[in-house]
Amino acid sequence: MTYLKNCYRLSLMFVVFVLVQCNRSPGQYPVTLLGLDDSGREFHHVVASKYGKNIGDSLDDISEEAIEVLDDHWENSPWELDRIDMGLGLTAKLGFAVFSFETSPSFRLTFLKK
Amino acid sequence: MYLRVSKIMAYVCLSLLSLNSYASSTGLGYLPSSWYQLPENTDSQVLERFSAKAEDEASKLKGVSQSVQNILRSNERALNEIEDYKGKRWYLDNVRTQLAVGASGLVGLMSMKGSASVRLYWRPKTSPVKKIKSYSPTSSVSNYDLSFKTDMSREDVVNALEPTIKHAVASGRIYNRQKFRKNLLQATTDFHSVVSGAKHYQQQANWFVNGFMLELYVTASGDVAPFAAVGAELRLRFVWERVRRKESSLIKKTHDSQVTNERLTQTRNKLTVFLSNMIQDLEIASHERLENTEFYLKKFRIGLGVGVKGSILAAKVKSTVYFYVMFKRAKKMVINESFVRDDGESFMSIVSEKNNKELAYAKRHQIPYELQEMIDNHTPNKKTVNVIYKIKRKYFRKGIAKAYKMISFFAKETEKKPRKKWEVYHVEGHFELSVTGGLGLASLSGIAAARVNFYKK
Repeated sequence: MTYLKNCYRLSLMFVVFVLVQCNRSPGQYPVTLLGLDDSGREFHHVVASKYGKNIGDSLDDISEEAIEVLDDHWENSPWELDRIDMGLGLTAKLGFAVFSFETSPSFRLTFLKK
Repeated sequence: MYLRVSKIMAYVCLSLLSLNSYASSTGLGYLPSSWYQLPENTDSQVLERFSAKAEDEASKLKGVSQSVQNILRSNERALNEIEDYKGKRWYLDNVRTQLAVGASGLVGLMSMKGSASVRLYWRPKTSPVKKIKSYSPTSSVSNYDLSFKTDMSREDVVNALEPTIKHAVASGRIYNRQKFRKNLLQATTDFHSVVSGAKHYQQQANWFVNGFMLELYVTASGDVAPFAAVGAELRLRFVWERVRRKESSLIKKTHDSQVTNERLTQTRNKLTVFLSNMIQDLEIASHERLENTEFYLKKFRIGLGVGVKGSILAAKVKSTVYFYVMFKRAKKMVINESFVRDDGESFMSIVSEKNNKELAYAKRHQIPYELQEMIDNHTPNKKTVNVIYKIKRKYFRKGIAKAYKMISFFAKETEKKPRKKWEVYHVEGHFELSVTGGLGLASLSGIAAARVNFYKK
């Protein structure tokens, strides 16, 4: 019985240890994300630098799509579209040892008279 | 029993060890408190705290450095994933990332709804921008709805406003169109007459007034005000680019936009004095180069409020900002010895909302202040009380010098590692103004403390 209890404790300890290790997945170059949640309270979360690649893939898709669309809409009007900027709000979706991004894009178009 | 307790203790210790190693390995970086906490919020006994706890500051900055390096490394990794897609007419010009400071000084990548963490800028290839380094898309000059020039006539301003009025009305958010049109034209032409008539030519100065920015909030009933009112449906942001011309030609061209009423004349004259003083402050506080970096401080923006008699006040909080003025530094550095002479006894005024903690601090430290009742023209029954603090300019200059130090830290961080495809040419810092005249990095409240722009090499 004592053996079973110890095994149970050891297993529990192992689970705790693994979860802590998973949560520290930041790895070699951890990145701190800092923000306010929906209720206005500050939160921070440390993520692995590998998320940089995931975000990079998204940025690449966005850039390619955007340039294709922009090239197809080159209008000859007295107003020239001078600049487009897109903001990506990266909101951390936190879970226990699970982390993901939620993006909320916003666009701004700037026109100049030719 | 003893063995069981020992085992439990061992588990607890192991868990704590594991948690501890987690905390130490995350590389969380905390700024020194003097970098982001304003004296009135900490009840500090000293106004200038650069040298305080120097060792502690160095140790903390080491942690922040590691944290910022990780963010920059991660950003570069993300940007390197972007293929060099050959657009016919457009290209991805630059990518901006934002750093935030938490209430405890924690530095991290800004991550929140409503504010963009990453911003991508595309430009047409036919754009007149030739040198990428000279183009700095700061929030002070890029995110606007319409731009004017200070040498435009009143009629030109009215004509330029027409498309904006049409678009605003077409949005369907404004039901009283006539009132909106009248109010917008009044507010814009009044402001134009003030800024186009203000003289702000400091001879032999590196710094000059580059432009002005006015934000107007519009309600459904057609009210237009420079402060965000409850029920505001639209925000219009207008920029005035300053045209550098000979004063005589400027006066001739803007003759018909000159102010005719006493209040605006006072505001214009006081703006002239304020701008001259600000240029002097920037000249005195400026360093030739941001401490051992390739960066120069090129732009400075400050939010201003307007007092009851047209006095110009530095705005401490957003709700008291009436308009912004942007300063730029000339490439050619000239040294004017007269700016170096600092009598140290001149004053400037700061306007803030009434805050008991700040008032108590001002009383304790004998900072002169006066209460000023503000009446909103659109809601006359609602009165707000603002506080105007009178501070010595020498403290404000120290604040600017402190801001230099802080932003040069971030600039240095961007130069530590060579980059393959992308380079940082532009670093921007946001600061909060203290009732002492000092400046602290803006902590997390929807705005970034620092912005870093990556450009393709």
